[in-house]
Parts: sequence; structure tokens; C-alpha cells
Amino acid sequence: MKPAISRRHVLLGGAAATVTLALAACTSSATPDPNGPPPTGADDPDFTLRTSVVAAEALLIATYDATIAAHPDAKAELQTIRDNHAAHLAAVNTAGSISVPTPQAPQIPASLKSAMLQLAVAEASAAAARGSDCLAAQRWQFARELALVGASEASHRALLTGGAA
Amino acid sequence: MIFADDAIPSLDQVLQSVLAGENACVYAYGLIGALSTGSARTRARVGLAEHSAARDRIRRVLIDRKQVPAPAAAAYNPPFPVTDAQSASHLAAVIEDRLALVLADLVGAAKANNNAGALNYAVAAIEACAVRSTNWSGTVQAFPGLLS
Repeated sequence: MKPAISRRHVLLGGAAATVTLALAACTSSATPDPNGPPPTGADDPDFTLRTSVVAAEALLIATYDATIAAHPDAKAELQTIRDNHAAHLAAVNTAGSISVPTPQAPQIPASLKSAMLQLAVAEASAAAARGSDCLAAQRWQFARELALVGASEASHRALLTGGAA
Repeated sequence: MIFADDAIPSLDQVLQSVLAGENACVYAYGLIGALSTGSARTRARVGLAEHSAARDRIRRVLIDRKQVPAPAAAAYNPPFPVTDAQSASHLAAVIEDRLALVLADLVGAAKANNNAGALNYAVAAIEACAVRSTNWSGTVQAFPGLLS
């Protein structure tokens, strides 16, 4: 619990003045790493894993782009999720050092309902894959990032399948 | 790169942070349920049950690790006035987002300490957190809780 209290995310303060507490993430920060990027290329023990995640995110982005092109009415909902994947890719592709072949988007169903279901299935698979990636990662920092990426993908699945209020 | 590269988190300290977060969630969901109706009330009941179960599990893990689980506070103050169904829904999304960040720390700490049990738990728990947050808010985030 090294970080100063100002960096913590305090949720609920205790009713008694002496109890201040609650949800404090001890190591999280939205600020860029002041010590520079993590190892890249051959120095990075997770380079192969990073490359596979970049490829997976690129395929998801291509799938969303193709779905939006086929179903422009769904753009408002899908663009946000598509942009989440672009943020995932940028975070994982440290220093932009990884390039992957342009992915081939799957065929997009003509029915919007089926197209949304295809995306939901892709998100469920992605979330599960990021979970496995967390277990496979060498660096704990990368595992922590992958966990948030997988959680985001699980929430995409929830939104696409209409769990939201 | 979305996090600053901090020192390796202590697993026991992070487990205590997760426990504190679960205790806060259990308290908050009681409040949320009281202010909600219909499907939101059901969602609050499920959330309360899930967080209660998670709290009990984390307490057990700490005890097994010869740690003393920190007790819950008697009461907690929400970060903003929670007076109706709308503010209750917002509170639910906010606490889920913040717990997700603590669970991300648990992923890191478990990995750094080669603790497969804690790692598996944290990976599943953070996904559940993000899904609950989205079910309350109807929105999604690239890195749940990080920028909210």
C-alpha cells in the first residue's frame, strides 16, 4: 500500500469520523507509467502473448467495423464497444511495436439480432481467453492489465445480450 | 500500458483491501435494495448475495493465511447523496467499478506471488464486477473503473 492516500479510490467513508475506508485500490493509477514503458520486443517475456492479444483485438475491431457497415442503425451502440477494443489494442501493443496481419472479419448475418448474437459470442470467447491469458502472463503488471481487458469484454457481452437496465 | 508500474503488491494487504471493498459493497447493496423497486430490487438482492459470499470467501482465505480479517465498519457514507432509485443505481455502478480496480490489484498480487487460487478467484471476480457495473449503468468501459 505504497501510494499516497490521494491516489486511492475511496468509496464509502465510515459514519464514525475515525473510520475512513473502503474501496481503496492500492496500486492503480490512470497516469502513464513515469518510468517508461515495460520491456518490449525480445526483452519482454510476454511478447508472444501480447502479439496474440493484439491479433485477437484486431479481429474484434474488424468484426465490429463489418457489423456496423452491415447494420448502420446499430452504430450508436456498437461504436463505443469497438472503441473499447481499440483502447485495449493500444494498451497491449506497447510502444506500437507489434504488427499483425490485417484480420479477416467473419461474415456478418443479415439479421441484426443474429449479428448482435455473433458479437456477444465473440465477446464471451474474448473474455474467457483474456482470463486464460492472465494465467499465462509472465509479468504481474501485464496480468493486471489483461484482467481489466477481460472484464471489459465480459461487460460488452452483458450489454449486447441486454442484461442492462 | 494503463497502470503505473508500482512495487509488487503484498498479497495479504491486497486481500484486506478486497475484504474492505466487499464489506463496503455489502453495506451499499443493503441501501441500494431499500431504494430500488422491480427488477432493480432483484438485481440488488443478487448483488448483496454475491458480495456477501465473496466477503465470506476472502475472510476465509485471510484466516487460512494466518491473517486477521479487518472487521467491517458499522456504517459507511456514500460518496454522494443516495436518496432515490436513480442515485442508488449510480452508487451500485460506482462501487462495482472501484471494486474492479481492487480486484485488478489482486490479479497482480496473486500473479506476483504465484498464488494460483487467488489468481483464479480474482480473474473470475473482476469479470463479475464489470458485468454487474454494466447491468446497473447500461454503459461499458475499456478498463472498468480505471477512469471513472
